[in-house]
Amino acid sequence: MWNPLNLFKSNTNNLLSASDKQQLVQAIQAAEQNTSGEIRVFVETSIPKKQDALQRATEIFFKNKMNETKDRNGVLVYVAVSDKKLAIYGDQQIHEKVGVEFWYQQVQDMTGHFKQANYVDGMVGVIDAVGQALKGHFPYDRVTDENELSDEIMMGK
Amino acid sequence: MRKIKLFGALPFVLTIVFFLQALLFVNNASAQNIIAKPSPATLVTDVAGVLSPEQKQALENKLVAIDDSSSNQIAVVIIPSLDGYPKEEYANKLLRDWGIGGKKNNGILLLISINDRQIWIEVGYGLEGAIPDITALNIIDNDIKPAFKAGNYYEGIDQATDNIAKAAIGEYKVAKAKKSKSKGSGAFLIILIIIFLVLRNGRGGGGSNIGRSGFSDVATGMLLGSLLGGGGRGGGGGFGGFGGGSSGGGGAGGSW
Repeated sequence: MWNPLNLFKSNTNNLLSASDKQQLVQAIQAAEQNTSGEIRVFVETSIPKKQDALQRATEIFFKNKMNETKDRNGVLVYVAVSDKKLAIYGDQQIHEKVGVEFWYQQVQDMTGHFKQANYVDGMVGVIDAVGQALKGHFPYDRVTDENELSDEIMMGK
Repeated sequence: MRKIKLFGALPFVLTIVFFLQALLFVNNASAQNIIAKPSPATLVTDVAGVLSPEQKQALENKLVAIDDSSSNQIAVVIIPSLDGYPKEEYANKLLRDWGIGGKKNNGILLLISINDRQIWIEVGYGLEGAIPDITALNIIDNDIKPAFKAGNYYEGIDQATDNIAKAAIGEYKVAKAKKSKSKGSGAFLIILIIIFLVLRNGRGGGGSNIGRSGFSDVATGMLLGSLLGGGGRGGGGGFGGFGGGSSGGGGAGGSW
């Protein structure tokens, strides 16, 4: 059966090849090695109506229970491919530490890469930067730390 | 084989779909490069990083107090660059997109673009009578430009927001006081008056005493907090946002 949604699915698949995803997962794992913080990436084609990228990111953040980490330091990187919109959302503890300006900076860095179609570079860059920030505020504790959230890239419709 | 035949028209349809999408994006792109609303929303947003955290907090506290006491919402947004936009257009779009001033349209945006040295005061139409262009330009010329030229960003913004608040009260305040009188019913009215008086005292009539009014601000906050059931306004004091709720964390969005 031909499903119109597959059009869009193939679109997100075009954006991230298997090796791209692998690269992102590795970046997340590398970033999380130094911190108790948790990073996830969500990619979909377009934002549901009446939402902006940040609202959508917030929704996904809570739907995936990213607010249930022990230190409230989860960070979601959100990308809507067709809409050319992206957002980054951090839980309350990390947000209190880094402030809005930090998120702006990350969004700017990412859009800079995305404009030149360097999607993976843009996302790896932001994962690294967020990892650094998390490391500064939430150092890794070999004894107690566990990987609380999956590192897999989440793909929406 | 049959399946493949069914798919024969698909590439054509695809082309049209993507062509239409592309057209839409071109339209969007030309009007959507303003910075996204932060979450949780703050009245002072300094993306260019010219204010110290203390200065930012002092301004934020003052603007929250003005918002609480007069419901006039003054937002200060400092960006590195307008990205080629005319300042009027950028400010107007930001005021509307962020919903500064809410449904009453009594919002005022002080937009400052550091690298291209542009300043603009955008007034929601609920306050256009109180703050005509000539007033706004006066404030820019007298309060902001001299201070900025000397590199004193905070002083300029502090002065300017004081005077914007004064100008806004000139008209809007009167209308609001009348309204609450006609509605007045018992305890609610008394509480309103107490809040009003406390804020009045604390604010010293809207003068520029924000720097040394630490105690009265705290007292105001405590009183307000206990009166309103202590919801959401503890510590340094936030404000309810431009209409959207916040959920503890924060972030930013953008487009490419």
